[in-house]
Amino acid sequence: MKSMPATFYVNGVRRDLLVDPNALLFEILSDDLGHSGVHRNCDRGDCGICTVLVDGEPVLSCLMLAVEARERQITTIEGLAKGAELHPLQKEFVEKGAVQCGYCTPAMILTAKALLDHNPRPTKEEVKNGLSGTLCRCTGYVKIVEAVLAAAEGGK
Amino acid sequence: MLYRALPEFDFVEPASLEEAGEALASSPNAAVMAGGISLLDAMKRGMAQPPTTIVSLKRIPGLRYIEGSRAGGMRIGPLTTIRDAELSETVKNEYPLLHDALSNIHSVQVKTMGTVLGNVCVGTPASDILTALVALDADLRLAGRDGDALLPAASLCQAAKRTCLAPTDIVEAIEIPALPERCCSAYCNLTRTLPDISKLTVAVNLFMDGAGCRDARIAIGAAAPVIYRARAAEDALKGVALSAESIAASAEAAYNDPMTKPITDMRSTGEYRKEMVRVLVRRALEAAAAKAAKA
Ligand SMILES: Cc1cc2nc3c(=O)[nH]c(=O)nc-3n(C[C@H](O)[C@H](O)[C@H](O)COP(=O)(O)OP(=O)(O)OC[C@H]3O[C@@H](n4cnc5c(N)ncnc54)[C@H](O)[C@@H]3O)c2cc1C
Repeated sequence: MKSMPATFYVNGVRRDLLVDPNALLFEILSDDLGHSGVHRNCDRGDCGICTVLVDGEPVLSCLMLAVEARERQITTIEGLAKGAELHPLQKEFVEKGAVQCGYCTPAMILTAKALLDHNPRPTKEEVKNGLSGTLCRCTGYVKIVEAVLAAAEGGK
Repeated sequence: MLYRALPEFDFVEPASLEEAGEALASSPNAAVMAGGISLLDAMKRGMAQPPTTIVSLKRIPGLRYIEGSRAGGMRIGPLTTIRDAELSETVKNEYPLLHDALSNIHSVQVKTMGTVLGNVCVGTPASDILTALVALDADLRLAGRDGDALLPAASLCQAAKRTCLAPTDIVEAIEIPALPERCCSAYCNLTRTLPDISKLTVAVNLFMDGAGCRDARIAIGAAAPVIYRARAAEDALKGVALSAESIAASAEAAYNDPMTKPITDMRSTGEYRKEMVRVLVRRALEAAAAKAAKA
């Protein structure tokens, strides 16, 4: 197994690393680069909690090789706020009490961001469908859907 | 050294399908990878002989496409994601059976990463997509073969999660034949919860002729180790008018088909699944017949 030189753009910052092919994107982001907002959970794609955005699309970082994200733009939850200014989705999650225990929140917000980037004015049904790959085990989906709809309204 | 969930392997990124074929042939234990979610999941779970070389198709240009039409047949490339297919107007309007089947996969992340072909090549009997492809008489085109390049989707699987593909085989496209104007289809499945894998799948495709049915395809998944066509159930509809009686007779024939031998697992008992074969075939036929009546 040969390590490969790899350039990643994480939240807009260029990172040059030597990466083993068997490293998962999750492992590089969380363990090597210290993005503690990337959460590990089911480890098999069922829960979506490890979701990050690669070139704006939501992917499961537990099932993607890091080398496949070379040269691509990776967004984790740490990349959303601009300094002390929260992203509209983060603001609404706080406002509506949609954070609950907080474990799924980074993935939920990133999945919602990908949804709103494609579809800035989704219906409630479209929000539910768009988030259906990301599970909240507090099962408090009502507030989450409200927060996403509110962020969509606010962004108009 | 930080912990790694995956065993070690060499990673190869060929620039063409020919190079990919060579890379597969030159390593004793290589695997081709498209989206990677099934392969990496299996490797994490300690598969018996994990590949020592992974050949990724990702950097080969021109493999992500959906082309053609209902009138001339449709082709789907090996890097076309499930999401691409779900959002494709061609799939939605011209092959609604495939659209209905793949809309049953709920996670946006899985659809964004997973390819249509990767789903098929896993060979699980619960594949929504493969069930639809069997009812559509789809073929898989194997790269680098001459005479025997076309493999019917219905012949892909030999057992649950075991396909007849050699480790060196690469499927370069799914080819779905043209559909006549008067063709009506429907997809039905059962799941424990919406996002879960199906515990039973049924796809029907009816070739209509006046009020009658000239020919039929009925594909059933998760009721046997492989997805199969219920031939007796198809025969029960050939040349007859679609009515409550003929639909019930066809559903009964599917129930009694010797292939219909579902297992008991955490999703359902075999007995329940078998009863549901009759119900789902009936529902799918009723839905297709309703579309035929409207057309
Ligand atoms: C959480 C979750 C939910 C899911 N829900 C559903 C569901 O509801 N219904 C459903 O049908 N499926 C479901 N799936 C399965 C999912 O659709 C497949 O895992 C995925 O599409 C596989 O595609 P891939 O590109 O990642 O394949 P890969 O992991 O890249 O490949 C899978 C297998 O196919 C082989 N392969 C890939 N491409 C080729 C090729 N071109 N030629 C030859 N061999 C090839 C690989 O060697 C490997 O053995 C689910 C999966 C997950 C993780």
